[in-house]
Amino acid sequence: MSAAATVAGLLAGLEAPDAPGVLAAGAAQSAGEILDAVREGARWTLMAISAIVLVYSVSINTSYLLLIFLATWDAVHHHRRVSFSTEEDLYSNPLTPPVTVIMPAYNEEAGIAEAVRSMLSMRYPTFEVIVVDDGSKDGTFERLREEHNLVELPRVVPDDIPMRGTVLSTHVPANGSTPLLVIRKTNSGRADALNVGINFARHPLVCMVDADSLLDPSALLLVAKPFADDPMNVVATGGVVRIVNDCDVVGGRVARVRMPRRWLVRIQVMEYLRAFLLGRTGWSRLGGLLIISGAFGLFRRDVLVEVGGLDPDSIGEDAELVTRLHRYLREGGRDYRIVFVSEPVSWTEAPSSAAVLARQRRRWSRGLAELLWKHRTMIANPRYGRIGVLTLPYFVLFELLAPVVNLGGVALVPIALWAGAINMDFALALLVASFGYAVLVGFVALAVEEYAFRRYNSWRDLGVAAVASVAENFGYRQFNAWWGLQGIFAALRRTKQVWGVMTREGFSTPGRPAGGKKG
Amino acid sequence: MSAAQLVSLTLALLAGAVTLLGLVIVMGRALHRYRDRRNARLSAGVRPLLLELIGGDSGEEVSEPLIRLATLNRRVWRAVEPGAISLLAKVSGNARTALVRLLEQRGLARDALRDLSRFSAVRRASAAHVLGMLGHAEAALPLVRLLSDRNAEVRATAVRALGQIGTAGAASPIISMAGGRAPFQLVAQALIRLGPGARPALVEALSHDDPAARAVAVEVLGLTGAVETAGALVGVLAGDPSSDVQVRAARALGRLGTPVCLNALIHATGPAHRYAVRVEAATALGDLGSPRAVPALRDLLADPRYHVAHSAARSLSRLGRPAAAALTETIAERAGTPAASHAWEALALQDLQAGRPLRLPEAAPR
Repeated sequence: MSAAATVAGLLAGLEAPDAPGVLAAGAAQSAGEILDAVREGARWTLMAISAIVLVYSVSINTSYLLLIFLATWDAVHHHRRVSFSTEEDLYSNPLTPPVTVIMPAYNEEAGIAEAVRSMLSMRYPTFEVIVVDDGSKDGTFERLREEHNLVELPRVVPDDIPMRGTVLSTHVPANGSTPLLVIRKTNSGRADALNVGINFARHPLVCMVDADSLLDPSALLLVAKPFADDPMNVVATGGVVRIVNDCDVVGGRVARVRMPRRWLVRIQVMEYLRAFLLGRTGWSRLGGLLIISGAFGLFRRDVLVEVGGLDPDSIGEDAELVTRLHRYLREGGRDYRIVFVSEPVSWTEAPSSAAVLARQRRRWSRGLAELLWKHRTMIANPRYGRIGVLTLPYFVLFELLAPVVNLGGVALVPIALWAGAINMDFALALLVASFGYAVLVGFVALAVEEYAFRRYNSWRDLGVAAVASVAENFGYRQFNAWWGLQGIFAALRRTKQVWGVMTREGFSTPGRPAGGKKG
Repeated sequence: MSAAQLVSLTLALLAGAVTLLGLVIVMGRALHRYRDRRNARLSAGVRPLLLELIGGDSGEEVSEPLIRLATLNRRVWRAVEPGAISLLAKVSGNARTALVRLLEQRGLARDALRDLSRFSAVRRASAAHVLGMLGHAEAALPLVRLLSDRNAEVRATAVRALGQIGTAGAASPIISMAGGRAPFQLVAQALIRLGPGARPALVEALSHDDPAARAVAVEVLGLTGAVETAGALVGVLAGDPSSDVQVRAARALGRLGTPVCLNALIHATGPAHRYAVRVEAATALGDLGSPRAVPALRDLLADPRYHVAHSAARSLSRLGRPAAAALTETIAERAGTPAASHAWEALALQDLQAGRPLRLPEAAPR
């Protein structure tokens, strides 16, 4: 309150109106005086709202900065231990827990063969891959059948987790040794397809990956490490998701990392770095990780069964699952850890057109709104520890409401200027300062990337990343806020949930044109 | 200070900070590239010598590269040293002996022993790592002391180093690290490396208060084939209060494979035991590989809990002809039930493993 009042005073700048304007209305006798008093009151209200927007803007960027600093601690720690910590420990260790990788696939004909081939060549001691063909209408299954010489192997359908779709058939490679199971089922959505995969999983850990994602060769090994280190307490780990657009992909692996060609995707690269990599690492360090991306997450199967798997009615099923895990384990009084691992990488294709991006962001925003509503009793509830008193209130304030405040600010500033509530030059200077702070946060994230991960090697990519950090603030954020607002309204109206079509361009293989595909 | 001045100052500070960060990023990258290029240049000339050293069979073949590498100037050696240390994990026999000699002549063991008491946790952990890689027996005692280090990374590296050195006497302190003081998998691996000398401490740990210590002891006894401890493990399977420890005991008994293990595992598949234990026991019977498990596994095909029946089917698929006969009988006797479906699956798995066309139930959709 005091901060807002101070900023309101600042916003008044050199032409501050009389402070007791509203009070003066009480003494006004004529209609003209009453009108003046109302106008004065409106000016003060606008000023107060503008001040709140400004304080909000400073707070949200400061929170990003704090999360990045926490992530930096983690990155430095990781960087230092590289010399005396080897992957070999885990790879050669007989106690490394076996993993079932589940890939739900819907109309993934273009990339499924390469994705499964890439998954089967992961560097990990014991694992199986389950592809759940969720009623694809294209040749997804045929591609797999040709590639792996699949034969039908009837299986009794397990029912640990309730399923909506019907399992039609199960198939394995004829060679009897490739650890692959392909399940064909009627279409019932991604969450239900994952539940089917969890039911069929044979191993104690379950890794959920998107069929259009590519994993670094040792990604599974590194994301499973927390389970091997602390098998009694770790229940879930999440890995980093980065953007693969325009990177060179050879044999299902990202061979050379490049900045994408389009600015829309370049900006998303910086956004993923700041919000997904460093933001989630920061939350993990605080013990308050809420989101594990559906594109790359590892879970204990028994705990997934206990909580009933993913919620097929949720459009943000990944975050909803993690929130439900927190809720269930906290209510059961169990010791547990949910960890984010900043180095293994899953590469995924980001939307390259505004229309597809808009659909994605509406879906994310709606998913978050529905999740927070579903678990509203956890918000600010000390029973749920840091998740209850820190993470969820933060998500309400700085994730869910961000579009409302941002667009509110955009709409109010012209009105406030017109009403004379704020001084033009002053407002402009504050706006620049606000953008400057956001750019600073982007540069800090870029510095952490450069010192800790160094994925983008060329000087040109570095320059592009720096420009994208600046460009993100001019238009991209405002459109994002608009789409986010639409998502919130969709959640409020409870309109029919639509996943939407993600138009893909395919992976860029040197010497071969990228093939388009839709999933 | 007026409001306008305050905003101007803020803008100036932000512009300065962004510029400074930009410079830090660019300078950092330039410096990193320069170092990489310099180290590559310096080590390129010496790499053939290193290869000659680890490739030499006799003392004479090794002596010349050893002398030349041992007398390299400090600047060049610093570029070569990380590569030489990482080579230790990749070579064995004479090559490893020659490499250890070189590193000891370069004073690595001496420096590392001194660094174990440094203030910096990174220095202590790196020192423990080097001593472990060298297998430096004199470091065992200081490394045991390092197990109570305040830094988790240092403790973990000390555990691994003690395993690499092979100090059986360190088994008990290493076991006590399993309960969250060091990564579970590192503790297990270190104990495996200690070999049979660690078994008395492992058997003693079966009655430890901490379930993590019991769990690691059970796993290591199973993985190292400690058949003489099968009786003790049977006791754990039957009566440990932690289901996680019981599950691990079932797995360990499956690996040991003695007759006493068979009876205990068959008993553990019974309905009186916890679900997870029953599933693991059914799987372990397949690992054990005895045809005597077939009747019990055949009965389990009709178990109402999916994973018990499924694990039994998979175990039967690994038990050859006696199991095939039992599966065929189940199909005939229990046609149309889940037990028959599990039996079909097991038969199909046998066919796959044998490279035969799959036998499928007639009703199965093609």
